[in-house]
Order: sequence, then C-alpha cells, then structure tokens
Amino acid sequence: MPHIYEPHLVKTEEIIEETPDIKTFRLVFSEEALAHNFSFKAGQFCQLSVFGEGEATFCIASSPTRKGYIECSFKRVGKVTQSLHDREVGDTLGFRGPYGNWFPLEEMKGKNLIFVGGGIGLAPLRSLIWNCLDTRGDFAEIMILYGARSIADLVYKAELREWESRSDVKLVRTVDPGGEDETWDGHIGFVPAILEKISPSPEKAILITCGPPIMIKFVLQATDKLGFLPEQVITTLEMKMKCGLGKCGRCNIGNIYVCKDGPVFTYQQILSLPAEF
Amino acid sequence: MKEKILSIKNRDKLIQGLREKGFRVYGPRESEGIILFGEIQSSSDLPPQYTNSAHSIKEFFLPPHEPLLSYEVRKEGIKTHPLDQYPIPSVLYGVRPCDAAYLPIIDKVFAWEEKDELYLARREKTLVICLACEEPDEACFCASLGYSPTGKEGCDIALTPLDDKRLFAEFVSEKGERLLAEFPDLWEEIRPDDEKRRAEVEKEARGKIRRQVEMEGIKKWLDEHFEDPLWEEISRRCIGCGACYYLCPTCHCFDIVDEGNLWRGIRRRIWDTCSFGHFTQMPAHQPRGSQDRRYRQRIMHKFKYYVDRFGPIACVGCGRCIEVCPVGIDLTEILAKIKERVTASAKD
Repeated sequence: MPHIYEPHLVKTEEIIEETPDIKTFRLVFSEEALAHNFSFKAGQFCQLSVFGEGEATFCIASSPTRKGYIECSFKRVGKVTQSLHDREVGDTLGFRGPYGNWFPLEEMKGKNLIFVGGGIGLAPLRSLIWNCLDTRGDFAEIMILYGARSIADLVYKAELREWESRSDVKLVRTVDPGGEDETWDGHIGFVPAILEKISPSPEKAILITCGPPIMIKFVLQATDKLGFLPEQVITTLEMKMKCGLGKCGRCNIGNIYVCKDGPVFTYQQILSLPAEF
Repeated sequence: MKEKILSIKNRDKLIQGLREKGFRVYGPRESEGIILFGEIQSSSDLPPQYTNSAHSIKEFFLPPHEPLLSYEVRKEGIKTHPLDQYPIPSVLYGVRPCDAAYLPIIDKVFAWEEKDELYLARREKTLVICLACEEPDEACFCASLGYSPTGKEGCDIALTPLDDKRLFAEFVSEKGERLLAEFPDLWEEIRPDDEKRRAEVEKEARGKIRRQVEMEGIKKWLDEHFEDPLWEEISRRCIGCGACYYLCPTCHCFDIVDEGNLWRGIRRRIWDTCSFGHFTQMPAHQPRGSQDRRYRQRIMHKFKYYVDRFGPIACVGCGRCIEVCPVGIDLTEILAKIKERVTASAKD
C-alpha cells in the first residue's frame, strides 16, 4: 500500500567537503517528473536516508530558485550522518519532503535583511540568502554575519568569498577566540558578541538567525539589546524528528509540532512556547 | 440509533457468520491467566469472565512493529517496495468501552493534514463490537473522564448484557448497522423492560468503579504550571521503563528504523515513548534530559497539549498504566495531587 512514509530516491551528483566533518551533497531525483518539478520553499526540511542505517532530518540548504537539484549539508555526529559521510558520488539515498513551514519571504520584501549564522546553522540561511540574492531587487540592504569555531569550521567557503566580493551584500565573518590564525582578517569573537559590536539598526529590518541552540539563545538576547522587536526576529528550532508529518510525537514543544508548525518561528512565537527546546 | 437484542445463542451464529463472510474475528482469550485479544473460532473460545485484556486494542491499529517498505540493491540501483499490508477485514468482539473510546481520540492525530493510510485503512476495515463492563477493575477510572462502563464512543455495535442469555445491542455506526442487514435473522426486537434493565446494568457497573478523579480545574492548572516542583516529586520513582506507554491505548508515538544492511533490508515503524531519553536526544542537544521532564511531557501531552491541539483528553481511564507500573506510580494519585493544588489555590 502506498503511504506517507515512502521515500523518493535521489542520486548523489556531487559531494563537497566543507570542513573536516561537514559535507554538502548535491542530490537529483531519480524519478524524471520530480527531477524537473520538485519545488519547495526556503526553510523547509527533509528526511534523508541511507537504506540500512535509517532516516535523519536535514534542512534543504540550496535555494528554491536553483532548479533541478537540491543540496543538503551535514555534520558527522551520529549513525546516519556518519553513513552519509561514507557515501560516494552516484550513490542512491531516500528522500521524504519537503516538510514544515518556510521563511516569510513576502513579509521580508523591501526590508533590510540581517542574516546571523553559526557553524552549520548557515545551511538553512544559505537557502534563503541565495533565494534573496536571486531576486535581489525585492530587498533593501543585505548583511550576513557568519561565524564558526575556527577558520577550518567555516562552511561554504567559496560562497563566503563570493558574498564578500559583491557590492550589494555586506559580509561579516568571525571565528571563536582561538579559532583564528595569522592570515585571518575577519572578527574574532562569538557571534552574539560580534552582532552587538556591529550593532545593525532595527529600522525597517528583519533579522534571521540559525545556529547551535546556545548561540541562538544569546543572539535573541542581543536583538533585545539592539532594539529589535520579537516579531522582527526569525529563527529555526531543531528538535529530533522521525515522521516529519505531525504523527510520531517526537518534535512536540508543548502543543506545537515543530515539523508542521515550524521549523521557522518568530522570536515572538518562541517566547510563548514552554522552555523545552 | 437502532436497538436490538442479540441472544447468547445467536452470538455464536454471528461469529460464525462473520467468519464465513471473510472477516477475521478476534476476541479476548485466556492463556495462563492472562487475557489477550486473539483470533476466535466460536464463542466457546471466549472466557466466561474477564475484566479487560492485558493489552489495549491499539496493536490492531498501530502494531508494535510493522514493516513500511523493503529495499534492495540491484544492478540498476536501489529498489524500494512498499510492503503489502492491505488489512484483512476484521472484527474485534468483546472490546471494553474504555478501549473503544480511544479510537475517536487518536483518529485525530493520524488523520490531520497528511493522512496515515496504514492506520486509517485498518480503522476502516475493522469493526469494533463492545461488550459493557459489568465488573470494573480495581484501577479503572473511566467515569472520571466522562466515559462509562457501558459507553458507546468508538464502538460500531455496543452490547450490554441484560442477563446471562441476552445482550442489548446498540448500532452506533453505519458500519455496525450493516450487520443488521447482513444477518437479519440474528437480531431480536427489544421488549418493553429491556431499556430499563440496560440502564440498571450501567448504574450498577458505574457504582462498582472504585476510583474517582475530579477533573475540573486540572487543565487550567497545567496551562499555568509547566514549571512546578510537582513534576520532580511525582517522577522521582520513575525508572523510565516505558511500560505505561506500551499498555496505554492513547499513547501513539513511534520511531522509524532500518533493519538490514546496505544491500537489503526492511524499514520498520516501531512503538516509542517520551519516557525514554533517546526519544528527544540529538547529537549535541537534549531538551528533556531528566526523567521529571519526560514525565511532565507524558502528563502534559495527555491532559493539556492533546486537548489544545485536537480537543479531547488523551486518556480513557482504563487504568493499565497503574496496574503495570513496576514502581507503583498511580496516574489517579497524580491527578489528585494536581487537584489538591487547584483546590488550595482556589482558597487563597
């Protein structure tokens, strides 16, 4: 019987080694129709599987404006991600999705956008950043603040260079203290501290942040200090998920299903949730 | 609602008739003192007396484990096959009303937005014939939650024994009514006093329920007490074994796992529970890192979150969690403790 837990097959077309423990896979649907027509929105996620190892949840890290493929980035941290790291170009994976809600692109139009990312948390932002850059005229100023533990841990290095060279994007890079070397010409310090230091104006702005939970917590506090209203700040929540379809109960925070009502939430929405994420 | 009488003599004909029409008929069966639902050939397989089955009927709708698909590597690449699970039309005979009442509650989560076809197909193909509870168990508290030992929620046909020869039959659903037409000779007309007798049986059974929880105000207290010392207090004993989950009809959380190797295997759905730490454990993050947080989730999900999201309380008062808990945690005591706080704060 066909059912909602049945995955589509995707083929690994390209593998990029981002950092010692993060890889990006470019995936193409094996089914002809999906290869051409698959659509999603920035912020949505999927369940990727290595058959025999199981499924795990990943955001779609490529932009919906780039058709014909999707990209996912993952850090080697568990059983499934270890197995994904062992895959090669040409290997077939299972894919279910797209799931969840998305970034409110319409509401962002005409605004100054401030992206604040940490570590692999740049992945969901990257989908949105390219989406915005591919329709650049719709938005006012775009600033990207991105940091990682060390220079080696920065993801999408080629794209960081590209954003840096563009006159219509302001890129601010930072690494945690001790993560720099003598060649480093970016900031040194934790992302929330650098955000306070560069102090972007909340005027006509929307700030979108993704990263490790601890970073998000301090970034949200920093946005308070900078005068952003909670409805001007958007983030994504990460909870363990299995079905992605509001059935298995794993990603509940209070009566919220992160897989259905999220993963994208405003800071204002987050303030109303029980503190359990 | 149509009402008829099914004699005990005709009950056996009904079971036979259903089997002849291709239904698998399941009923409570006793083995070494334990009552479990199993396939029955005739009413002689049924125990003369039973309070309730050790397991709830949820395993007929959400099996403890079920294959979702198989996969194998072939020359041309990986192939997946959804496994053939079209359910065989089944009848569950002798379901206690509390267990049947779980169905309309849990239908909501499996049917909202994306439909869980596996669950819903089993629901569609399964006929639930309830048998009223005449001797509630020590741990039962269905009436506190608005249910009844002779309740009809989730039943297709509700039977209430009037005496040892006759069962009062109420045709609750359209699916149940079909049996009226398919077996016209088996159903007898009710007599003038039958409805009165049925009401007496209900009253007697209700009178035998020993536990009562006053639910008023509990939801509101939960709304306001995500953080409270009570959670630590009530869960201190909990060893996180998850037994309450496995026996609870309304607990429905699950995991999806692969069994096999990189060349061939099966993807399977298995029961899982918020009692376990791994349930929410992420590589670098654990939002419910202690047992009191996990226990809070269990209570909150049943009595607050499910209500907020889908309407009904996700508990039918069957009492299995109380009977099975190896360390004696008692849900009615917990609810009573919450109620004490509700009452105390009302006096302030």
